[in-house]
Amino acid sequence: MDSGSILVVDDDADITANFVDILTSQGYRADAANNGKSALEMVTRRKYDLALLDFQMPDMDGASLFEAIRSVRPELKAIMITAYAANNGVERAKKAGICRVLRKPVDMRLFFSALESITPNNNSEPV
Amino acid sequence: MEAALDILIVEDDADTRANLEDILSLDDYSTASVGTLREAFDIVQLPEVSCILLDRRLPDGTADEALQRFSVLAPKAAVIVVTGYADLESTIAALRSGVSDYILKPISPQALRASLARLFRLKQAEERAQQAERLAVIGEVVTSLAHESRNFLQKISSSAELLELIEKDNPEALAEVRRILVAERGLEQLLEELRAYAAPILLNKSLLSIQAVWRKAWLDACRARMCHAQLLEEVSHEDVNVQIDEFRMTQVFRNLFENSLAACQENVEVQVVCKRQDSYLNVTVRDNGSGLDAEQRRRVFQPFYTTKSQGTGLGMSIAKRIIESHGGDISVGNCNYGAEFIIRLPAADGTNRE
Repeated sequence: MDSGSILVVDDDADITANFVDILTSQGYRADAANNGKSALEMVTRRKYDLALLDFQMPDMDGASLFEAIRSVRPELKAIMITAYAANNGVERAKKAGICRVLRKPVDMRLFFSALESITPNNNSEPV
Repeated sequence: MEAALDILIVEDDADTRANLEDILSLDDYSTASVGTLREAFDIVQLPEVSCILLDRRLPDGTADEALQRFSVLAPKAAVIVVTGYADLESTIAALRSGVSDYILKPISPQALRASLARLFRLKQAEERAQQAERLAVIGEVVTSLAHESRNFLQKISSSAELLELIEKDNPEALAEVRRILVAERGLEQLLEELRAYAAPILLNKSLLSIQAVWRKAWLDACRARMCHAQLLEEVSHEDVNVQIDEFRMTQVFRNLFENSLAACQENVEVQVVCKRQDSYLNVTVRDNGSGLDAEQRRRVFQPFYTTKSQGTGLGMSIAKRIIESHGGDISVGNCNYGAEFIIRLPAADGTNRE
């Protein structure tokens, strides 16, 4: 039962591992990338329904990465997560076409409700 | 504890000394007076004195000689030299060596008042600038601390949530995991409040009814506390519109109301009285709780001071900063039952409009 495939991008491998595990447990297919470059390679190789992007990464920020991803996969949607408490970057992210911006630590209920409203096959059920 | 001392008078002439004391006590300054430098150097409160009125010639030395000692013993004090016309020239020369001002004998109350007012205004401005600078540095540190911590909080919360899924059939493990999550949320809230406290307060002011603002804050507070309490209003001034930042002022009232709701047991009554006084609008908030004792009254606006088992103790000090950045002030009132706070805000049609 595949309710959607998601690419998780964060420069912190523990954070991507956590998200991949949680998403998998909820019936999603999830892959991890730990920098912008490998994220771009992965979206080129296969099709994802959604990208979960960290706002700040060493090689490029989430908004720039999303713009680069869109040039390869114009239909791909994204949720951004940010460690910044203030609203910096939110405007830019929204302008780039990112659907939702969530603050770290991410409230999982908020996260899944955002996910369900964005991903096309809305048939996710806990395994 | 010694009582605070605003002004120290060092003057050997008894008449001049009495004259100075009279003028200053009328103006509500706390003063001490001595006739010699030796006595002056022995004053216990010297390190905290704001101003020294120093006679040019004293039995055991001159003002010039005393200045250096005072700059060490009373570092916060501004020195005003009291001088006769004959000494004027050398006194003006002394201004360059650490004297803030001079006044001529015979002392005119107006000249003394003008000099002191100028001095205390300057001191206040300096203190505000120092406070702003300190907060800016703290703000930068706290902002990056909060930011860096969020990545760690993310790992704690998502790992704990995963563990919840894995251990869903093990109630003991689940109870422990939930404790981790509660602690994680507490830490997150603490960091957020710290960040809000240290961040510069930028106001987005518009002309608003202060009554509408406190009513909104009241609803928010009651909803958050899930309790029913009574709000009594008394508005004796027809124009309750003031230039305020809606979000920030709602935060101030919500804070006051939440404290009242937390402090009162049952049949909570909160009273808001809004009155015009000169060019200010005074809003008094009082409740029927147990009130504040002397220690609480003294410390209520200090950061991290709290009497509640939950909360960081930053609420009231943030409230104070918000009110002050509106050009107003907040103080503890003298209600003989419950707690009372008085907020003073510049009225929209007042003369002190920004």
